[in-house]
Amino acid sequence: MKKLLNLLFTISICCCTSASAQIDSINWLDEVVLSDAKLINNSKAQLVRKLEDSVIQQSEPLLTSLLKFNSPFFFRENGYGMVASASVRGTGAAQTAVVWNGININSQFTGQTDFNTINTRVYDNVSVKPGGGSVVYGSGAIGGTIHLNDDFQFNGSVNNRISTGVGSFETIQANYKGDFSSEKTSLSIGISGISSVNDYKYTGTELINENGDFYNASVNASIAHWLDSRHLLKFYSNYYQGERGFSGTINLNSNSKYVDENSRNLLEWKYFSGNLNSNLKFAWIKEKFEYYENRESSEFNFGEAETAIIKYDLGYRITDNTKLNVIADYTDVNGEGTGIFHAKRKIGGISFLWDHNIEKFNYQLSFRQEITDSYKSPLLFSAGLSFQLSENYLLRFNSSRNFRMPTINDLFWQNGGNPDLDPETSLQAEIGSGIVFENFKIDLSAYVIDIENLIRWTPDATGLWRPVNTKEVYNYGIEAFAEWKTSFYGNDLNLTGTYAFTRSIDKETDNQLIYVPGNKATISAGYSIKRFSLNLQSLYNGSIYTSSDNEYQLDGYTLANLGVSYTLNTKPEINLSATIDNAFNKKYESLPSRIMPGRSYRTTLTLKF
Amino acid sequence: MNYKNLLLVFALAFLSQSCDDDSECCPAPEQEAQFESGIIVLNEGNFGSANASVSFINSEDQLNLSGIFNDVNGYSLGDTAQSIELHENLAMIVVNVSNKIEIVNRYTFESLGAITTNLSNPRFAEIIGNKIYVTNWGDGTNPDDDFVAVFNLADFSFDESINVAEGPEKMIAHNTSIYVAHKGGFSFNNLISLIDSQVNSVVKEIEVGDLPNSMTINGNDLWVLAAGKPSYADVETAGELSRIDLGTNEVAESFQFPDKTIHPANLNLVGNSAYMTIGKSLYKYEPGNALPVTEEYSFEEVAFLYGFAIHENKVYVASPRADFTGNGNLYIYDLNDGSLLDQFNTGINPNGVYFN
Repeated sequence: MKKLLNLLFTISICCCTSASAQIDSINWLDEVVLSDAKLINNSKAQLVRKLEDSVIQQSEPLLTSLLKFNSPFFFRENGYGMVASASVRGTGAAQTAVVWNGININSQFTGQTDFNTINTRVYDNVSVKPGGGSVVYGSGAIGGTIHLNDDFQFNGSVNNRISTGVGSFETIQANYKGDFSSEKTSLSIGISGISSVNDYKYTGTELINENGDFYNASVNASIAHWLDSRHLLKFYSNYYQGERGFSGTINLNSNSKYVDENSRNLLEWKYFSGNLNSNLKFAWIKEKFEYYENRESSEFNFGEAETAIIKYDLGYRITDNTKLNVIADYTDVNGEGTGIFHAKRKIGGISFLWDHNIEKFNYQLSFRQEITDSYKSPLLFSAGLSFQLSENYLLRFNSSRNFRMPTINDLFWQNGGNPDLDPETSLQAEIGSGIVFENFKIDLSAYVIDIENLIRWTPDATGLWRPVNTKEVYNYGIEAFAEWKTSFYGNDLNLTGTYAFTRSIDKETDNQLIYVPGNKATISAGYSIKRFSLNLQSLYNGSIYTSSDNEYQLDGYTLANLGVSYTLNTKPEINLSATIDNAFNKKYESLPSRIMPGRSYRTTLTLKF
Repeated sequence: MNYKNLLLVFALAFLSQSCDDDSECCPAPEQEAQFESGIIVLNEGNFGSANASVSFINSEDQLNLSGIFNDVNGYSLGDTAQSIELHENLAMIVVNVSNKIEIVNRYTFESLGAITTNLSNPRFAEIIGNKIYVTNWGDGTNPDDDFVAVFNLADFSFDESINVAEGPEKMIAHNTSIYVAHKGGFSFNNLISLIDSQVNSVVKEIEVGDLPNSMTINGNDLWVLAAGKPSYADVETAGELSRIDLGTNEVAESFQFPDKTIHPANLNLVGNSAYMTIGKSLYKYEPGNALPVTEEYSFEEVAFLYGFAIHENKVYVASPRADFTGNGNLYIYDLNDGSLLDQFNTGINPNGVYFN
């Protein structure tokens, strides 16, 4: 009898613990499944738009093309596959943060990410979040953030996708994505490569794009493993290697070459206990480039930076509706390169994130203070409110202070680096609303951003170009994201569109900043007829000024890509697609004298099993 | 839209028609060339954008014509115009990135020809006798491929090229000699090389201060102003003024500025006085005296002193916009007191001021 009691007691304890362990992780399901739960949980008063996998698959693999046709953000491109930067809400190239599994990966040298060095096919999902986010994502999260994330499943699933394609200008691409999971372990691997001779004709001229050849390869792997019911380990690794000829302009031949290599590693140890969630992260990021002015020569300039981050995040659910996170982190950056000796930067930070639901009302408050010897760091904050007024209508407000720290080049470059720079700071506010009518969704935001201490390289009295905190700018605008899933003659029709009206005004001159279009719109459509699907991607970029006196501009343009795909077999799924990019052979340039490709073709074969 | 275009086409047709009529019925009387008298501003444009241009300004008539080369000739001047050499009725425009020299009539700007071969990163042109000499950097990072190209003034044909030290920049002719200042391309140099035009070879290299940027001849003296190495060089050096005796071709004397952060430029001779700029300020130097320590005055309106000339008691400063995008300005000052007399818009990044 006593034995039986003991047994019962033991069983009941086991049940209890296992039941509570389950609850522990269910309580924190987002933390288990997502690599960056804060993107969902701490941005309730801002729009986070995840791009559909089908959209990613039908786009060109590099991130620039995907976002150019599927977001209201503007991209400046030196040519197909060449250096590309974003302008989000009228901000500059270093004022958009690219975030990989929660870690900001903008270059330490330039403060920006080259969007043509990101191959979208190796990640589980790509999301865009317009608006500030420096409290959580750090430097550069002023205009918006772009997120490359890996997800985890623990359901025993096995998925493989292999895809290869060929296109105009001898462009070849291939990628593989595999996801495997058991109840305790989840593994995901993505491998991709693209290469192109890229000798397209400059539309409307007799010239071709010389010296624009490129290739790049990426590997991305993530693994999560439950040590027991409370301890979860996650490890992510990303490696990129690329080599490009930098094409010249229509007036200027180039014979240069750029080789770059990035590796990113992130280890996370999560612990769940009741209302407590503890998260310890180590990240190690390395970036390296070599620039050859003359690609036949062995002479090159280089830069190399290593970043180590340790971050501890303690989340506590005070009640069912209230949650607090306290985050302490430390970042150590070491860089060197041509003209840069031992650039060092150490940054400590502490953040508080508060989240409170009151029925249909939610508010979030967060603060972050950094301490560093390299620059004066402002107190960052974000305050958000959202009301779910009805099933159909969400109203939200957000205000935040964000920043962009001076880069290694800004501070330490021998030929003009300025160690006395302050970070760029921005104060912004937005109001947004999400409206749902059955199959139609539209999200509208209006925002204002006030940016101080903009860092600009200008010549000093001796002719030396140096970075100084100079301009003050205010931006305002409207953004819209719309989506309509309907049917047409009994077949599925999906329509998505985005629009941005943007003003980015230099306070001194009242002129629009250069390389910021006043209007941008995109429209995509997908239509399925049995095994066929037809798709359209199109965009309109308004004209942009190329001079700060607004006397010179590049014309606006409208582009359209048309594609058709056919499913040859459903199990395993085999799909063949063909796309005409720039179908109307429009001559366009997003930077002066850098003409983008005219009409071109690509085909893709995809196998899923 | 179509309707509007149609109207435009009609309007154009009508205009051209009426022009023809005008010229047929009453031929224009012989008149003074359009750019007979005034200021020529060279606008280098943006690197890689092929938007170099020439402005013509007549301050008496408050006339300001932009893009005169393109308007007269119907094609673009090219990419990154570096300098103009005026000689008799010719203007030779050295277009650096386009690797060419456009040669026009300086009073009408009608093209007389172009030199498009045997140039590599050309900088400045100078005439001696019936030859055109052009300094070339070659590959800016390569110290061993710099040269002076020689062309025939009559038909612009290529004669020969003379290998010189790194970074040849401005030239000045004296009798049959050409003195070439070597700033040093992408790096730093401190030489004046002396080319004998009768044998077209370098007969002497004369050491002066670091980065010689301007020269002027006074009697039997060649004065050379050197900027000194900038702050980002391995060792920053002060500017230096040297006097070279044209008889011996030796440095007779030289004066170094007292502080390594002083980097003078734009040596100009007015009468017996020399003027130079440091930053955005003007300094006056009387030969025989010590180097100036106090400025005459400062050009407050100027964003960046990029082109500079002194002409008939006036100072002309060409200034790009502070960020080197968009149109710049020409400021005209009274040489004596530095008061601003006039100002004009120019094209993109004006770098030189010349006079007809």
